[in-house]
Amino acid sequence: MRISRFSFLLTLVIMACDTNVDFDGVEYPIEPVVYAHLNADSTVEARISHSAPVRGEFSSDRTIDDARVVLIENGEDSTLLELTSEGQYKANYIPNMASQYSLWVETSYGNMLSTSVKIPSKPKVGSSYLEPYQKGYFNYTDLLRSAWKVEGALPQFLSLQVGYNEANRFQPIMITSVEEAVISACGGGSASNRANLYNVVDFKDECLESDSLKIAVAFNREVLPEANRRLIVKFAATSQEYHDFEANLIDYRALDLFFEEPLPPYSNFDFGYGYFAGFNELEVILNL
Amino acid sequence: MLKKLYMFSWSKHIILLLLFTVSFSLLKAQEIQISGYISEEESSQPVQAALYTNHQDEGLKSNSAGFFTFSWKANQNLRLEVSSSSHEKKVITFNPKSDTLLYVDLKAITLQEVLAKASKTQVGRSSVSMDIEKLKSIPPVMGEADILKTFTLFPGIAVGNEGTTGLFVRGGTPDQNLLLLDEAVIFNPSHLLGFISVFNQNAIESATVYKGNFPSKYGGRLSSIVDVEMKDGSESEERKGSLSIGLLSSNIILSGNGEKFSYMLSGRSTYLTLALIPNNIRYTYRQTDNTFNYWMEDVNAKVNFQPSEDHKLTFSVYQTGDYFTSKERDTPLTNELHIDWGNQLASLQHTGLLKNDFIIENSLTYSRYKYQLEALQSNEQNTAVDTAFANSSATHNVSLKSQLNKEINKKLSLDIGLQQQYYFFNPRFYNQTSDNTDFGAQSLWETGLFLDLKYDVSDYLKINGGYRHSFYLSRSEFYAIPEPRISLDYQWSSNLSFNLGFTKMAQPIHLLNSSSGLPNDNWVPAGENIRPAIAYQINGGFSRALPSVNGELSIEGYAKIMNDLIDYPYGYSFYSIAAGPLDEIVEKEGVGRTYGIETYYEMQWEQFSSWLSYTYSVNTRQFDGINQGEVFLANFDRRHDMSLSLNYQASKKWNFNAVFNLQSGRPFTAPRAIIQNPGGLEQVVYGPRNNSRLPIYHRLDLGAEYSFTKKGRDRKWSFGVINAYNRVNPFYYHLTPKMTGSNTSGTVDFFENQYSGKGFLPFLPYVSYQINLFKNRK
Repeated sequence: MRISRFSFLLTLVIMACDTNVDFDGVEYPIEPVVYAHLNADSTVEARISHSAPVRGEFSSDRTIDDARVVLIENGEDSTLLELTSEGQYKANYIPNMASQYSLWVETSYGNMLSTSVKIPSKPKVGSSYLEPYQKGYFNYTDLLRSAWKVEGALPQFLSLQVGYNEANRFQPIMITSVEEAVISACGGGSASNRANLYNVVDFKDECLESDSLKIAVAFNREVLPEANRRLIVKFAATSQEYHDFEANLIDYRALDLFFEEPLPPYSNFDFGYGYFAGFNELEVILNL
Repeated sequence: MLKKLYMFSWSKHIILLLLFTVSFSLLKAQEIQISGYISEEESSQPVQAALYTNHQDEGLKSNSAGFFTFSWKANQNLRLEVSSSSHEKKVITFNPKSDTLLYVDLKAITLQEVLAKASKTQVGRSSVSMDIEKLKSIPPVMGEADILKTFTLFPGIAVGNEGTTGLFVRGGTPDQNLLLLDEAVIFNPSHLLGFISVFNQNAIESATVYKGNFPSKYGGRLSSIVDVEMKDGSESEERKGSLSIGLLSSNIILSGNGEKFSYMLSGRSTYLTLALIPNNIRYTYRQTDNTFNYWMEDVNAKVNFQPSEDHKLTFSVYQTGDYFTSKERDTPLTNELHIDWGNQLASLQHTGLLKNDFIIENSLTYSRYKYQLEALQSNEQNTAVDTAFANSSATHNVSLKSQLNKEINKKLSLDIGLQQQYYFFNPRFYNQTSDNTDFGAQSLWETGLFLDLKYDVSDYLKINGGYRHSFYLSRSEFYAIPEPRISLDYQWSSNLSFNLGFTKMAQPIHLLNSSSGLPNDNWVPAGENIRPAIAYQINGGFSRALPSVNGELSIEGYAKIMNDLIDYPYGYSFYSIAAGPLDEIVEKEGVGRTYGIETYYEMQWEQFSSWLSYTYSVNTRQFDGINQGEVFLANFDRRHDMSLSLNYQASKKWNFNAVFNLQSGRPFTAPRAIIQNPGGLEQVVYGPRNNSRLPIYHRLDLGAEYSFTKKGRDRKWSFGVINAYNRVNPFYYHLTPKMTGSNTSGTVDFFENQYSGKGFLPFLPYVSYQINLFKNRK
């Protein structure tokens, strides 16, 4: 799709002229930004920073280290998350899948309360296979396609990430293409938008209505390190909050704004930005 | 006795009947019909003129075909005075004994006389009737005078993005304008990605925009009717023709006649492709990695045929075509894009005089708009070409309309008619990795019954009452919508008049388009998921003639509410067509509210003429799914919009003109913050829709014309400059945080916000040369 957008505007761009004049607009206050994960198999984590203004200068160091972060279970019990490193908060507590949780964050930029969130069930993934993938939108010859079958009770929202481990750290790789049938079912490329951004592909619930789902991802073998050609595929069942946040967070290029109204950011907090979302992740390793 | 009485009774009835028949025949014999055609002596073009007789207080008018008719008593002297603002008055006196058909030729006033008499564009009563001569005295964009762009210089009519042709009339959107060329619908009026409209000014006889007070014969759109009429062929013996050559395009027009027919043929084409040849050669020889090509053409043709004195037939066809190709080399890949779009129109019209003074007007029209977009990608190592993306759409319309006009008496006239239309929409999407996706052709039947009554209550008060009943059938859904309309005119004095009007309009088809001038029109008919849109409008104002400056001042206010509008939902745009049936994904049941005050001032002083228009308006939208249901500013809410046009006829040869436009910047969705996304990258996030406004828009265009005659042929040079002081009027802004450095340990980066915007019309000179193809008559 991108090639058409680019080429489409070739004439206009040639005729166009730039300007750097500013405009009058609404001044929005600095607000906190929270990304908090509620994982089935690990402790609760939250990363807290604040937004930067849209005029003037700013720095990347915007972590908030003096926040008060409280996990609320079923509206009653509460657990305090402690600061572990710059902007990182953790609670030594593994959440219960049967409970509903919300998050309370107090910062000097304002206080935030999330909606209630549950942890979804872990996805079940069946066998996989590999095959060359040469026919397609991109005609690279070194692409492989791998397919998995998600079985059993399908999660409402599924997030897919592909990568490899290097120095004990997960390195995501660009997902070149997703099974076409899935893209069509998902409503025209909404899945691939996310792939371009964070190497994460989200699937909406409409895509997951059948009894089982075949997911195929094409990737470039050459990006994997020679010594460690083990592909790690992360299947995460997510709560809707995570999906909605991802679906709305698009990095618009200049020309996009000529054609498309930008999405306002989604948040399940009553103030600020970010999400508090439930995850249940399954890792599959593929030896190439 | 009874029988006798019975017989007597019968004979009495028979006698009465005979007496009545004879007297009626005698009476009938005294009433004769005077009718005729008025045309310009030099060009044979029909003239809409006023007619006065020695027994009529009120003037009659000839229609757009120059036709008129009225009743008269046989053997009674008739003094008929025919006048038009741009022609010399003519008086005919004779004693008609039976039905009479007249052909009246009026002599056009010379240029200086025209200037002196100021043949004006008619503005007021919620409409603008364009004086085509005025159109020619406005600096043209890219050498092409453009009727749609000229309309935007009048109050209440605005253009969207700079350079585009879509009209925004009283807060409406371009799809809410019914564009008619000889009664046939034009779905997309854009050439050259919107920089030129499809109306070739050389082939246009007249053009009128109705912003309110819509005659009930028009329906199917909410905001305006743009009624354009193609030129008729020359009815004089002289053949006519002219050729105009500009920097980017040329056009030619020819007209002539036969015994009972006349013809007009006009063509226009751009040769931008010639200027692009060097770049195409450089691309072929790998000196550059991208290139493009563009070609555009349009053809107007019209034939008039008059088989008898009382009937006239016209047949016109119109064809436009735009062809755009671009290539981009991104080794090892090559991307190609092809976009073709165009309109095809055919129109058959009949005007006839029936018995009892009825005038019948029939029309049968066909319109088609089609575009096709195809993006191809190939690998240089692998010569196979794959279609990566293709999108096409075809929109068809067939219309049959018949109406009867009757002047019942001096005070009352009526128009009554029926219109039947059929729409057919066929959007398609295709990409190589999925099957051809056909979203299902959709069709819509539209029937309109209409009645217009014009009643002169007194010499001062006139009422125009109209009623249209529209029926829409789309798939299984049926809608019947009454559309009442009424307007009042009160002539306070010879120089001052007031008007007041109310109109209800319905629109069964909606358009999804970015308003960017791009050809990707996707029409969505009303049906199961979307109801027809409805607009209610009230308007009122006054118009005052200013004899001291040979000018006019008019002020008019309006308020309009529009229901059941549609819009793109968040995250969708015109290239989201593959997402599924449009009537399922769009935001529905939107409400538009708009109101404003329009001011128009025109004056003429010796060889100098000017007009000034100013509009203050407010335009909002409200959708459940946008901005959490809150009211927000519409995309092209121009709070203030002012246009000034100046024209100076320095001599018979030299004419100078200037147009200045000043507008509020349009609303747009501005960023509200920068946040780090979950991947740790800095990312701009945006606020509610249309939360800010672009800077003020202003532009000055200057032009000059030099007219002369050489070797018996009239010639004209036109030259000037668009955007004389090179003001960049961007239509979008983009915020890019630029990294300016890091701390010494490299753990913290520093950024500076940079806003950049794009404008498309820089300082742009133009020149064109026009020559008559045939020598002037001696």
